[in-house]
Amino acid sequence: MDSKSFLLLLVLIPLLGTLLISLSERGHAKAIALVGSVVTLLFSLFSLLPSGSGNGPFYNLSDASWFPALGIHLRLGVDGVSAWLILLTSLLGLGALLCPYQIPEEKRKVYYGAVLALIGLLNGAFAALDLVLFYLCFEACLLPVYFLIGIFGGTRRRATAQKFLIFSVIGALGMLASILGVYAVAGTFDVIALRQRGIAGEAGALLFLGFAVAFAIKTPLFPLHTWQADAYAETPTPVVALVGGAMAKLGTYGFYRFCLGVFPEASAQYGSVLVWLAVAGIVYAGLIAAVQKDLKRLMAFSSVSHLGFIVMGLFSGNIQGVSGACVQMVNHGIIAGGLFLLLAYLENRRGTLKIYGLGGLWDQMPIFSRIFLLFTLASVALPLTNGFVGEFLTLLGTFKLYPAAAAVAVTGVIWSAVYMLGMYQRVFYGAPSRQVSSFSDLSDGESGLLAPLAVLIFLLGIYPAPLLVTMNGAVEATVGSTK
Amino acid sequence: MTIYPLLWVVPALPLAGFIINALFGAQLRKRDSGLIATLAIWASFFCSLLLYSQVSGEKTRQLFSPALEWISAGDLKLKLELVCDPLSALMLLIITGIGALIHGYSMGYMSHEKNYSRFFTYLNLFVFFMLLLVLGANLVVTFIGWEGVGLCSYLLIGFYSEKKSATDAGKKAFIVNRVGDAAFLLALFGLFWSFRSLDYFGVDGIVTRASEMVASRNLGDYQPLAFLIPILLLVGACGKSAQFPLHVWLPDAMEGPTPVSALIHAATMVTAGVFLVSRLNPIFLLSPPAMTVVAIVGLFTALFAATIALAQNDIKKVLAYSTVSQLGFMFLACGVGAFSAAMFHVLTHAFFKALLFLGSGSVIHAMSGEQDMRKMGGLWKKLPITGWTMAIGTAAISGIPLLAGFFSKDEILLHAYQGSVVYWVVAFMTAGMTAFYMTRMMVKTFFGARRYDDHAASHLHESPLSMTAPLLILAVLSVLGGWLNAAPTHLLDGWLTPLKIEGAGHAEAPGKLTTILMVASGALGLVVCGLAFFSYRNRASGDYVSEETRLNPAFQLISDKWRVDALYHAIFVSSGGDFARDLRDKVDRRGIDGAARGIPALIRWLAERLKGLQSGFVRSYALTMLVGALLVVVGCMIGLAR
Repeated sequence: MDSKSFLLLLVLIPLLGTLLISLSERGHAKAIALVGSVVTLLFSLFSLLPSGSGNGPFYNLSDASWFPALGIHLRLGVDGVSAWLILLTSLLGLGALLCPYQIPEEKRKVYYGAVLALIGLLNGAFAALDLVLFYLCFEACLLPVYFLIGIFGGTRRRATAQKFLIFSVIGALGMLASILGVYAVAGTFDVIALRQRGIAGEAGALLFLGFAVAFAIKTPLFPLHTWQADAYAETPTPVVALVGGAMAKLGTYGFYRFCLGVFPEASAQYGSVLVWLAVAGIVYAGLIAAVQKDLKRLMAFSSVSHLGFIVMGLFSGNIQGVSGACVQMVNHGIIAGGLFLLLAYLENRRGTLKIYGLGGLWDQMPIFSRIFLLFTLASVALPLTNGFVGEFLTLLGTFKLYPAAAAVAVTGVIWSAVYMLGMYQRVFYGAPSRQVSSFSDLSDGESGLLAPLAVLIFLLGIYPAPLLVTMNGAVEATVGSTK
Repeated sequence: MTIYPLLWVVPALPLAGFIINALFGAQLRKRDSGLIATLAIWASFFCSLLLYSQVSGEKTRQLFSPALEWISAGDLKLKLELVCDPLSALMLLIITGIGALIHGYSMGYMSHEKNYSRFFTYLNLFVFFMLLLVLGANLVVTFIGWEGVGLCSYLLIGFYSEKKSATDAGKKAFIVNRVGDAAFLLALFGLFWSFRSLDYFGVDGIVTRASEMVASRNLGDYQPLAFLIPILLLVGACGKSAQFPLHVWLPDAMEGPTPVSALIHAATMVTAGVFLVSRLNPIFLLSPPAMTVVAIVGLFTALFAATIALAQNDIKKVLAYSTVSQLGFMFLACGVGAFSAAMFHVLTHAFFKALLFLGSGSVIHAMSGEQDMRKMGGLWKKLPITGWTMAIGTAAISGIPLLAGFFSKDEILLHAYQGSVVYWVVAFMTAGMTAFYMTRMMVKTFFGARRYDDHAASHLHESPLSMTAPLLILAVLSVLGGWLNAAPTHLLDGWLTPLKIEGAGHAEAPGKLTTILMVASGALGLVVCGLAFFSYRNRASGDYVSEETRLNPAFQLISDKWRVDALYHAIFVSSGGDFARDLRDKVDRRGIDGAARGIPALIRWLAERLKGLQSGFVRSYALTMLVGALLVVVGCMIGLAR
């Protein structure tokens, strides 16, 4: 297999799958989606291996002219960070598709088609090394989620879908303007060339702002986060595993790839603003997570808090912080993905994720409870779980330039314990409530689906070197340019 | 540097026990499950003995394990590496020795429980993390153990998961500990950026270089952080070692099964803070003001907790506050630079506190779960072994001459006196209170009139051998343990030599002063215990104060633990919850989201205004497209022009 083409396949296979689903019968939808997703996962394993041509930290590069008149190319390639994010997307995508979930017969095509399309578009965004191509994939990711909310959401789905769209479009417009501006300044959409050139000065600061707002909304960064909890609440829970685990990284990845990569000067200059917004989000979302009445919303705010660590690390201005942020992108994806899949299992048994009325699952669903505890502990960043490595590094890195911000952010270890253990107590401890007493424990298939994620929690917690080493070159190149 | 793979075996054994019980515990027979866990700790104990013999010699004082790469980023190169020096070897012996006895005891105590194997799973994990904590060759490995014991205490305190008070207490322990952990992390970051290393030893190690700074009195770039870092470390230590104001979790920790209390109070967890301060003692010595803060926190906690212990009626609560108070003594010792005296008290305290907790467990076991001393009394004849051994434990903690606690407490008092007479006066008073409340506990439980009902009487029995054997062993240690560091040999001091740094310790106390203070503290223990015993014994209630006096507001305040728990609850749980709910409803939903929802409204408003300009949809599309196309073209032209 020519390495040039398989990154493209990671985008095309899922999208073709979606096309196929739309053309074929309802009954085949799931099978097509699974085959497409498994094939994508297998190919994405190759995306980690450097086999094709490289340039600096980038490898497996391919370049095909697309709209020559406008200088738009199908430029694809990965570095150590995006390769892991592609793998994460493919893994969580398969998990979302395999997760048992009650879907009305007539909506199956939409459901499976949308999830598969989302996988392809996310892979495209992570592999794109052309600004326009990235922009198209980044924005197109909205569509499947928009449809899923609109079709599968509850009573508030219309308002939620609209809010989600408006937030995203506002960010998109800013980014589009910045992309055109970049072209005006530098004359190319080629990300590698732009990184080598760098855009400084006032123009750089202005263009940086356009990107930063779009990524801040996507991440989401406080105070632009209010679309997220609503969107998660109305999206089918297994899909939230993909959305919250992988798609949420589009924003942080964007910061990493474009803000740090192309605008090193502006990143250093305005880094403190982003660091402090991130830190504010860590505390603010942590506090609000503690008083949520719905498990999915609680996890949504927990995500805002955890992603705050990532943004903080990215703009910390040193290797430890940026490494930690990149590692945490993958690790948070694994943990959040697992937690949302677990919530989907609970929702299947109960119909709702309201915390009120739960309790006593510890004895009623022992396997479920133990696995949930493991993911909870990883989420509170206990050492030797993968959640620790990234948060530790981002805090350590941030402390150097911004000790006060790090001192506020470090209280995140308290807030996460407050809301996660508070939640765990209300859901799992105590005497089993009446409605809980009929719940069955996880089937082998259900726990089997989580096994790879659970193994990764330990593996990447005890031995994080595979992540750190493969990302190191990319991180050093990025941090080097900001100095 | 000596590389010694056996170091990994010490924590690996409890880890193996944990894994076996976690995976197969449900299938194993109860006894086998407990036996595996207990044997794992005994095996670990014998390895520790071997290690002890390796580092106690003159030549080799430090053994390093083979290191594993862990986290590397930039110039941060973290390794999973262990080190054994006399300080950690002492801790190893305490943890595995006392830990093994507690494991054995638990096999009897927990025999009626349904989640037997799960209990031993947690117990082994607890010991594993504690071993990691004391063996860590760098701050981060210590931090792994530090957080790990927090997790295990959470699981074990909340072991009875259907009981709300138990899971509340577990959660409280974890969260309060996390407050300390956050401070620990900040100190760690500060140390890393100051020293560019997190290792303790080696040429660039923190301890090595801080010791050099102590000797040369040249702090260099570290100067601005010299006060802040030990204070942050102290906050971390206060979390684990239950010092004021983070002491609130420990008394609640008695919600767990009693052997857990013994493990937390004696062998693991609470000793971690004292260990950390001793391990990093040059960092503390670099800042005399920070040392003073350590001493004052310790002294205050010792006194404060002792007053609370005077008024408790729950046998485990008395012991819990006595632990807090004794830990205060250890911090006082650290604060006046007597680190080896603090470690000596850690050792003797481990003996008698494990004994007292396991003894109280035996009483509770015999009384079918009753913990209220007002419903006990007159148990001496019924529980002879428990009674005798607990009497020895009480005598040891009260400072009765020649028993373990006498020597270690006397040494702390001596050093406190050299630090400041005020320290000595308060500590001496507190020692008297200790003797008093411990005797009160003994009398209320074992002497005076019988106050339990016939139902309890019918079940009353001395505990089985699996439970009394550890009591007997611990009783022997509580009697003899003090001689380890008794004058004139001071074996332990010599052994812990690196803990004494030239120029930082105190001049050898004059012999006369030593003698006077020793006689004073010995007399204090004897007199207070004797007075309390003889005056209490004849009272039916076993108490000085009648139930009416208890209603006195001053008495209520003490018995309510100075209302610190109530205050924290009001501030952090009630007001904190209200604040978070306000944040959620008013700021997030109405404020921020309200503003966000305003944008579509604004667009709609603008659209209303602009509607007049347009006549139809087609044109509006066309217009949009035209504008868009123009933008692209202009952009390209500018790009080409450059």
